[in-house]
Amino acid sequence: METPVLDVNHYRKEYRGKVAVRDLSLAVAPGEICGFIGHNGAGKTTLIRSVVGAQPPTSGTIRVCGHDVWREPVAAKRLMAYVPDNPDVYDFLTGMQYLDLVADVFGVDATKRRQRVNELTARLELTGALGEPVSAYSHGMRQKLVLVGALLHNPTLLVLDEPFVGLDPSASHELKVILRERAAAGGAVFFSSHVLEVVEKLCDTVAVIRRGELVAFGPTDEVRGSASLEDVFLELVDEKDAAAPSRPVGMR
Amino acid sequence: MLALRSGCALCPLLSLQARSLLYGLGFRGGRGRARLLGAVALIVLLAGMAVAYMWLLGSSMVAVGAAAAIPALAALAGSLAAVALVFVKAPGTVFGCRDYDFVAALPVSVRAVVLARTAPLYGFGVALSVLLSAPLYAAYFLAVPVDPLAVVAAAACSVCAPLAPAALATLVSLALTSVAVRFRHAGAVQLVLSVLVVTSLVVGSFVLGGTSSRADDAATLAAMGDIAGVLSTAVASAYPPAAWAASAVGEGSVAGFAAFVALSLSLPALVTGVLAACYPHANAAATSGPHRRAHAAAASRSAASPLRALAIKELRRIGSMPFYAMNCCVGLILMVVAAGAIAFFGADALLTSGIINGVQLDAQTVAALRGQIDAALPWVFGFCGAMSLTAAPSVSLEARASWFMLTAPVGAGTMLGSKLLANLMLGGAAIAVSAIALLAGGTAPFLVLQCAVTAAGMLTGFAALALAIDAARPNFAWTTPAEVVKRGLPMTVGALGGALASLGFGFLSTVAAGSLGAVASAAFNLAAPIVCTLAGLGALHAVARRGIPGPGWDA
Repeated sequence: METPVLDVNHYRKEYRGKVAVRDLSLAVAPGEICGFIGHNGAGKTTLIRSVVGAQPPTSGTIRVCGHDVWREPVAAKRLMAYVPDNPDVYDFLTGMQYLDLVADVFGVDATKRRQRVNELTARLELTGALGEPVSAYSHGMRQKLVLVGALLHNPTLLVLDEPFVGLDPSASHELKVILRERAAAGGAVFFSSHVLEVVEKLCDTVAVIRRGELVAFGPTDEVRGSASLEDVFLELVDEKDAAAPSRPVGMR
Repeated sequence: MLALRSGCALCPLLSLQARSLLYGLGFRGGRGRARLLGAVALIVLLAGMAVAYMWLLGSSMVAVGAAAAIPALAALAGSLAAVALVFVKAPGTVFGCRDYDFVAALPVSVRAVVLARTAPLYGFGVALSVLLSAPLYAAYFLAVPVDPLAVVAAAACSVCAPLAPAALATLVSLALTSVAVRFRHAGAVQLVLSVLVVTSLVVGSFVLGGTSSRADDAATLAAMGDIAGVLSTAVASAYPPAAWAASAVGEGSVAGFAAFVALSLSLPALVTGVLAACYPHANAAATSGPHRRAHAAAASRSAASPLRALAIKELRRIGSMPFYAMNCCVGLILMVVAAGAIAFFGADALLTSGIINGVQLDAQTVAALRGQIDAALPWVFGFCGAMSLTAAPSVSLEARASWFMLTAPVGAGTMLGSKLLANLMLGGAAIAVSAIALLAGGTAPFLVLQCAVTAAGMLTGFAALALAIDAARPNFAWTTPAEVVKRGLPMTVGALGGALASLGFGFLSTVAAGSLGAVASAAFNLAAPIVCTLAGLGALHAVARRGIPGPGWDA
């Protein structure tokens, strides 16, 4: 069996004794785009921050291409890139200085970085703003800048938290194309979103979290069935609904 | 929605400011009581030290027959304290605030917003002024016949003294910030402009004071026997309203009192009115970005190692944050200024040039103390080095961008090393310039070596220690940089510890020079900073091995 790019096993996270995410397991294979959906406060960002090494799990393991994120952090982090839900980057740098910093930290050589920066900033229409300080950027421009930075080193795993928030329609379209290209090239994409239509159309697999528990995970068609993803989601996260199913819907 | 009347709106806005202060001190939802108590204890300790110092100063002046100069000095002390406070605090409190959009959208008058923002600064200024002038007045009224009206005038002058200077300092701070933010390296520009303003004020006061006292040389002074008159004239020349306060307290002058109170009340009212009239423009001026040079800076540079790239990023942060640069690099500037002064005038001439806390050193005394002076001199530079800890709050300053630090594929050692390296690059430059200046001025090379080693060692040791403390428990939840740059535990421990260690080591070195000789003091001056460096690096290494905790790690 092919080693998953992202492998989360029995992940659990507590904040001061309060369980935020309990016993969550999922895997994303090479070439897959996985959408992660859930209501506000369900635990999406909690899991994502642990996946990228920004917050340790209370228990469980997270592996990226076989590297344990918390035992071999540098090796795991070299293979992935992260786009946070709020693209807060260093205000005091210009866009180009930020990209140079990212490229240096990820060890991208000068020739390759010039080529990648030119290509990606042209696609996301950011080229003309690279000399300006980040403090002058709008939310959408910061989001684009972080996206360009995340793609500079051709990551095997791309982790994005609400990546479509703040993007204009053309950038949003271009991002979808880029994500498909990453998957086609053998990489994997794991992203959270509240835009269910995008998840439905873009993702090969989908994971649904409710109150810290994974209530559905599997191929999008399987989770959706004959209904729309929105209908299934609303049914799954409905508070009036009974307790979470003992076995998640569509669990592989 | 109806606009709230100014009086109604002021209370919630002032309450917001108070809550912000408590939050900044670490008092959050019942947690952090220990931190709050610690902060209060520290404030009480510092206040006690200030009161003791001012009382000693007042008593000394009485002892040398200069009691009559105390009222003018009290007014000057209160004014200077307010100027320093407002100059540092106004950016981010009065203008350039992060919550400007929020308060601007509230249904309250602009005047109420401005009042709510300036009132706490005036309040702190008054508290500082009372703290500093009360011991001086106490010493004064113990030395002269007590007149109830003079006591009332003194109390009123204590309260009023900081108001006018604080109002002016607000405008000057706004002007400097507005100029600085137009440059890419706003921090460096603000630092240079502030140094120029402060230097101009100090030199101007010195020249005016010096001019007035030069006429009264030692012989004349002895003939006149009027030290108080000389000092009063010097203070009044430096800050004329101080003379009005002095005449009100010392001579019962109603005109002087009226002039001082009128100026103190009218100037803040005028400045508040001006700020209220142009508040949106003032904020825009203080927050506008640098001039755009898109095409000049858009080219990618050559590749660098992660350590170098991260260190450059740290230097850019220091250069872009005036508040950060002002607070963390002032020791380096003092170091260079001290070296320049010693090189230009000579240490002996400086020591014999004036009265230091009531003690005048003459040439014979300085010659007799040569060994002790040489032993203590390196610790002047050690003190300046230990005051220049840009690394101390640098992990906390990552704040909302900490995700980058936490997810970058580099170890904690590299990340922390880059922050220390940036600090050492700045310190190294200042130490090199100082050493060259000292050598050019004729200071003995071995003494210059001691100065350089002491400065570098104290800087490295205490910067590493403070950085370790910050990295172990970073505060990413600050609302204003002042919370971590000025009031944070790492900076407090690093700078205060560095200052006390420098003073203590300087004392020990002086004792060693007196009892064991110059070789022993030189050995101590070279060994102690190295021990500090190793201790600091050891603490930093231990923290780096554990990793830098991010938000949610202490759950």
